[in-house]
Parts: sequence; structure tokens; C-alpha cells
Amino acid sequence: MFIITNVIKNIRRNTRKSAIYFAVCVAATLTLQVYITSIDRTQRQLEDLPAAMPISARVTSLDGWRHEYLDIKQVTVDGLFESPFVEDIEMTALAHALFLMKSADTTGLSDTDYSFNLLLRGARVAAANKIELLKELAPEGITWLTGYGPEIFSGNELVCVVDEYVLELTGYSLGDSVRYTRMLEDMFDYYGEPKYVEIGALDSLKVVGIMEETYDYSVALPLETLRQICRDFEHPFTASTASFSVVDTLRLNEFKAEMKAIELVDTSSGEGAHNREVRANALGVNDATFIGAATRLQESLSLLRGFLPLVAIAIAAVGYLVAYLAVQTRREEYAVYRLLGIGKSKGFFLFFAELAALTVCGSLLGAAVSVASGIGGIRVGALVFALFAVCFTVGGVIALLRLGRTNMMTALAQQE
Amino acid sequence: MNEITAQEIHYSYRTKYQTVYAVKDATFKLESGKVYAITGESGSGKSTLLSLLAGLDLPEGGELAVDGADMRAKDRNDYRRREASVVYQAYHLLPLLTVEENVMLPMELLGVAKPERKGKAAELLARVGITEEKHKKYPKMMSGGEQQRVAIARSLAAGGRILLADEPTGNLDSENGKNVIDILLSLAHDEGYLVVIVTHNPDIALQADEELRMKDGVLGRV
Ligand SMILES: Nc1ncnc2c1ncn2[C@@H]1O[C@H](COP(=O)(O)OP(=O)(O)OP(=O)(O)O)[C@@H](O)[C@H]1O
Ligand SMILES: [Mg+2]
Repeated sequence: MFIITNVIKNIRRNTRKSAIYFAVCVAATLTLQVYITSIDRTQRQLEDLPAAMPISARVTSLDGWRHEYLDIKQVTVDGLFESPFVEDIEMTALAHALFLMKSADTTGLSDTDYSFNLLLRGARVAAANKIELLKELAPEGITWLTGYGPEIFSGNELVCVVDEYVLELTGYSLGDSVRYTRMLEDMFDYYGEPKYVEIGALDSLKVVGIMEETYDYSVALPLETLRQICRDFEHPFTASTASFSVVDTLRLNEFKAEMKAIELVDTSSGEGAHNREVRANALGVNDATFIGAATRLQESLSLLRGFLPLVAIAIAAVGYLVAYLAVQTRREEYAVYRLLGIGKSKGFFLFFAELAALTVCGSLLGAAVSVASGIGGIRVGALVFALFAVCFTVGGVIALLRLGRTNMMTALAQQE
Repeated sequence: MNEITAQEIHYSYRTKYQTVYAVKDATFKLESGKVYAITGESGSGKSTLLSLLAGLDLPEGGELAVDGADMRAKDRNDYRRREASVVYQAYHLLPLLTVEENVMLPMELLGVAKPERKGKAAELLARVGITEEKHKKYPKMMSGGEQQRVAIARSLAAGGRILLADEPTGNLDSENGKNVIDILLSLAHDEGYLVVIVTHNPDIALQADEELRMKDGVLGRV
């Protein structure tokens, strides 16, 4: 109680010194606020970078030039679909000679006709998880069965789009379920054509669209449907194109390590040149701008952070200096309190409470002003207040400890 | 009744470069109701001795006891709060407290209630001749003589009966000086205080009941 009333008295009556000390607190808090806010902003920019600057990647040939008609291994495909870093996969696959479409009625066809017709036409299957990826397919050239449309490609229904010539040849029409058989390319027959041996049949694939003839393929399927058929056939699935976007881009190195684990060679490391594996594919990531921006932000962030201890020391030094100046002329006062029987720790606390009250009020005001004027948020304001109060208090305590060493006898014997 | 006894006490100031033996050997006995004058040349150790009597520090050797209780065993803060008070040549009033607050402070430290403090302060200030309109003034607005009288009032506030004064008239003209000495004499002779005055002034030494002369840190009676 004595301390509280005394502190209030001393602060009020020592008007000029209190005001200067208070003003220094406010100014120092504002400065610190600007500093911490810039750390905070940079941090936030870095966190927002992946959203502002997405990274896309695609599978390429080893030399990095080709990204179509690849032979992307199943382990890679499965790995991409499972990776937490990979999102929005766009993938196509070509599955030639994986299966054939059986004619609706094969009785009238000779073996040769059967093979010829189906081999040339029905065996060429393309799959994609987005219709736009099938470049030769003109979406407006497709006649859809009612209730179906381009969105089938993103699903996994047992449906297909067949070219009109094959449809005519095999005797099916829109809406029919087509039987398909798994064929194995076995050997060449005496015409020099590959001979297919039927090794099993699976149920039906519903024809939900008729497309115009294309050069590349005659049947188009949703990607997932083809993956499922491959699983059923126990046939390895390979993709021919794959592109995707990378999420969590700030962990780019972890992502690259994972891609390596699913057998995508990192061409930037120069490994591609030494890779002798025929089927190997590489990863093409357009991350140069992202890495540039992220590196710049990280550098300035670590610079700002690196200086933080120095800034804290500087504040403590200012705190020491101001406190020292504030109490230095009050050695006599301190000695008189001690003379009147106030103990060392109570005397220390008397002066400390005075400085602490001014520090807390000054930095609170500084923080409030900067929050109100929009320099920083409340969170930063609170942080600044705490940091400043601690640093300044440390400085003040050091100054007061020096005061505590005052030789009372010398101070009191002074003749003025 | 208060009694201070000192037996071969000594004290030195140690700095990095030298050691000054300020009090080398002091042996004496002081009693209540008397005024003692400590005289001696400048630097002979008078102020140091007074500080030891005030319990600002302990003697390095010898025995110093108040009412038979060894100084080393005492709570010296409590001793200064309740038993002994000091008046200095430089007054040493607290600059941020008013005259009245300065006198009230020792009572506040002892937990005396505010109305009581105020009454006692008024009484003490009246006694040293400080009029009421000066109670709310700050020390710096008063003359030296007034400040010294306020300092005496403050030293009486806690109710202790040992009053130590280090050249209390050093900064005062003869009129004001006489005034202060009269107060101190009356405190000892009329109210039984134990008063010790360090002084250069031979007239004051003559007025005292006993003069103790210090020479190079050694104290003997005259
Ligand atoms: N704080 C100190 N540190 C070192 N030496 C000191 C200190 N205070 C006093 N002295 C020395 O101790 C000796 C005694 O000093 P003291 O002040 O007791 O003398 P004094 O008799 O009161 O002198 P004066 O009449 O001038 O007031 C002197 O030589 C002085 O220089
Ligand atoms: Mg002296």
C-alpha cells in the first residue's frame, strides 16, 4: 500500500522525467511494432506463396523434352495417386491390344475377318480422366446416350465411347452393353498379322457415346475404369501422359524425394544422363520462379529474425539508459529511504515499481496506438508489448541494481 | 533509558586502490538525557562513527551495543525505523514529498493510521516552529533553516529516542543554527533523548554535556 501510493506520488510529481520516460516507451514500442509486423508480413507472404504461385509438374521422357506417348510405370502411377503432395492429376493412357470388343454376332464372320476387323479397330483403347485430354476427340462430335456426357471421364463407370465405324462393324448400337475379352498378343500368323489368343472374358461395357473416327484410337474410356479393368485382368497399367499440381510447395525437397521413390528421375540433378533404364521417366517441375520467390522471402525472413536478438538487446540497452538516467539523480533519495529504515529489497522495489508502471503504461499505449493506426494486428501488438516490457524491465533492473550498490554512508555524508 | 556502548570499534573504507582506516579505536559510553558533541579535524572519522551509531554499517571489529544488545544481532533497518534517527548537514528531505508527507513517512512505515500521522506531524512541525501554511510545500521551496527543522521533526516522528546529528548547523546562519541547537538541547534535557552532535563549532561543543574528541580515527574524552 505504501509502495503504491508512493509510486503514484513520485510519478505525478516527477512530471518531466516521467513524461520523457513514458515517451521513450511509446516510441520504442512503435518502432518494435513496425519491426515485428514486417517479420509477420514476410512470414505470412511465405505461407501464402503456394496459393499465390502454384507449381505444376508433369512426367517427361528422360531428356525432359517429350511428355506424350510415355510408358509411365504402374508404380509411378499408383505413387502419384497416393502422394499427399500431388493434386489435380490429369492422366491419359493408351491400352492397345489389351482387350477386344466381341461382335454382337460372330457367327457370320470367319476367324480372319474377326481378327482383322477387331484388331484394327477395337483394340485401340484410350483412357483419360478428363475429356479435354483426349486431343483427337472433338467433344461436340460425340453423340451421347441420354443421361451421359463428358463427365463420365472423371468417374469409374463401366462405360465407353466407341467410334461409329467400329460400332457398325461389330453390330452394336448406342446403349448396348458390349462384351469384351482379354486377348494376349501371342505370335504372328501366316499373314504376318499378330495373332491374339483369347484368355478370358469379362462382363460388359456400356456404349454411352458415339464418336467420329479418330486416327489414334477407337474406344475411349474413363481412366479409372481402365485402371480397374487392368486390375481385374492382372495386367500392368501404364499411362502415357501425366501432369499435376504440387501442393505443400514449401516442402519441395520432400516432394522430390517422394517422386524419386516412385521412380521418377530428377533431371535437374543430372541423373537422367546416366540412367540406362529404357522405361525410365523423369519429373518436370516448373518451380524456378517459385523457388526464386520463396528463397527471397526466406532470406529476408531469416535476416529479420536474426536481428531480433540484437533488437531485443538494443531495447534493453535503451531501457537501461533511460532507467539509469531516471534514477541516477535519485541516489540521494534512495539513500534517504534506506536511512529511514526501508530495507534494501523494498527500496529496490519502490523504484522498480515506478519504472515498471511507466513501462507498462507506455508500451501499452504504444501498442494500442500502433494497433489503432493499423501498423499491426492485436496479436502482434500483444507480442510487442510483452517483448518490450521484458526487455525494458531487464534494462531497468540492471540500472536499479547499480543504484542498490549505492554506498549509503557516502551518499548521505555529501554536503550538497 | 537508552545506552550506547562502544568497545574498541574500528572501521575502514576499502577501495580498489587503497584502504582508509577511518575509525581506528573508539571506546565510549553514551546515555539518555545527555547531549554529546563529537569534534575533531576534518577527515578524523566523525561522520563514519556517527554512521556506525546509526547502524548504516557494522564496525569491522570491537563491540557496539545499544541497550546491551549487540549491533551485529540487530535488525538494523528496524533499528533505524524505531530507535535511532539521523539529521544531516544537507537535510536529506525527500524532494518529491511535501513537508508534511516527509514528517509522516516514518510513521507510515510503522503502520500508523493516517489521521493519527497527520495530527502527530502537525504537532511536531509546530514544535520546531514550522507554520501550518508551509505544510504543503516541497522542501526545495523552503530555506535551509526551515528544512533542517523539518528534518528534525521527521527524526522525531517514529518516536525513537536516539538522535544523531552530523553538523546540523553547517549550512545555517548563526541565528538558525542557534535555533536548531536549542531544539536538540531541549530534547535531551527536557525529554530524555540521547543526542549526539558532530560539529566543528566550539560554542556548540561547549553547550554539550560532554565533548568527545576524535583524532585520526581514535576517540578519547576531553
Ligand atoms: N566512502 C568512502 N570511501 C573511502 N574513504 C572514505 C569514504 N568516506 C570517508 N572516507 C575517508 O575516511 C576518513 C574519515 O572520513 P569522515 O567522513 O568520517 O571524516 P569526518 O571527520 O566526518 O570529516 P569532515 O569533518 O570533513 O566531515 C577520511 O579520510 C575520508 O577521506
Ligand atoms: Mg563529516
